[in-house]
Amino acid sequence: MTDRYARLRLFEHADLSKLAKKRVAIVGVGGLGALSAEILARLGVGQLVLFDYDTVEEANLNRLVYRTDQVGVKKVEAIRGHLRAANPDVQVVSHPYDVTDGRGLKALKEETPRCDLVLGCVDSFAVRLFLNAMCVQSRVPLIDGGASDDGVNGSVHVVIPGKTACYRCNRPALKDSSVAPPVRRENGGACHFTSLPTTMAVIASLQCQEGLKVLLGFGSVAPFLMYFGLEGRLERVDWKRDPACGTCGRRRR
Amino acid sequence: MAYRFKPTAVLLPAAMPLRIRDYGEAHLKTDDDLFYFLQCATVATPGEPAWSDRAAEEVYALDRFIEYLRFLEKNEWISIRPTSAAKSRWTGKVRNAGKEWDIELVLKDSYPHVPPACRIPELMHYTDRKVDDGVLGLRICDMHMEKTYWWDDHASLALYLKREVSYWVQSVVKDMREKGWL
Repeated sequence: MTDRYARLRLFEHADLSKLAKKRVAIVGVGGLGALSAEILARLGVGQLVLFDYDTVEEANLNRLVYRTDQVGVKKVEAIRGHLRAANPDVQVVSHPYDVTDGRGLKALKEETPRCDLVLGCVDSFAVRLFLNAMCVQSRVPLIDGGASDDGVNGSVHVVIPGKTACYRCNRPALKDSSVAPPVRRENGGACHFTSLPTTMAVIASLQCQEGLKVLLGFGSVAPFLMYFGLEGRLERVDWKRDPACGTCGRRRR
Repeated sequence: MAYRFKPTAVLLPAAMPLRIRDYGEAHLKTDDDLFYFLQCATVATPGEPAWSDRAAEEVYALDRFIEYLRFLEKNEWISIRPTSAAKSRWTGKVRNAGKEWDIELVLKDSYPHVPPACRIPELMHYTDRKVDDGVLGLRICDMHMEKTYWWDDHASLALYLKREVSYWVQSVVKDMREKGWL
């Protein structure tokens, strides 16, 4: 191990050098995923598998990692050089495809069972549920992160298949379509929400912190963490698994 | 001579799939529950052998939805049919405010685990209610589904039209009218 890990060797709660043998997939390398990828690369995670079909846009530059000269470049390609420069030890595998279709889906199906952890950094609820189902099926831990529409709050959800609540558990609105009517977006409803690099950095850090615990087995994994930026408050919720959950429950229909 | 009814020989037209699940029938509570019959029984992705069953159920559910619109709502605002052999790409017309626009739906390889992706090309220019999509380019935004997410593996394309596309079109047309574009 080279000297770049000198401070990490002083960490007493776990042997961080074991990260060199770990393989972590990151789905979505936007404001959240790009930061998580950089943190994990600097920690010395052996292999990072990145998924994102999107290209770098000028609107992405308010967040970290991407540079102005990378506008128009595929995100997974743009970040590859950055990660290698940050830590040449890390091996980066990139898939510039949509994970719900064609080559991206095929790659995700192949890669997920081979990974020790999947980080969900997507902006679509549908894809979150899809990743959740795939990780539960493959029995690979998933850590989903997300920020609120107003940019100041966020959450991190740790899904350890068979142990903690999955993403579909404990969400009443997901069980019965009659619980809540569909939203009529007649008042505004722009689809591009604000995104603060500060909140993104908090959520990405929490995501990676929980990821370390899952990968190395130290500390107590928080099943669900909520971050309230305006109040400066962090809240842990110990959700129970739902036996009737459509994705992970034993009594699912 | 009395006529003897033979149910096995009559009721099912040839095109009707055998497995339509009466999903949700036990808890009819809201108007939206009227659409319980828009649920499919078979869960299969376009690449799987059972997809032909699922595709038949999708067509059947869509036909029932169009009938509902025609006879009960008196507003047949959508007409759409599969245009690829695998029935994974659907095209048609969507109507509102006396106008008619092309509509395109793509059922990705992970459908029905994820909802369809939908594009109404002409309206894409007039709204920010769109998101980038890996297959369709720009498609209508369904991020608001996060608030009341209803999609599951049994939900059909017809239900997506009812619960997603119809509201999307209504809201965009309302905006366009207010801005004097329509």
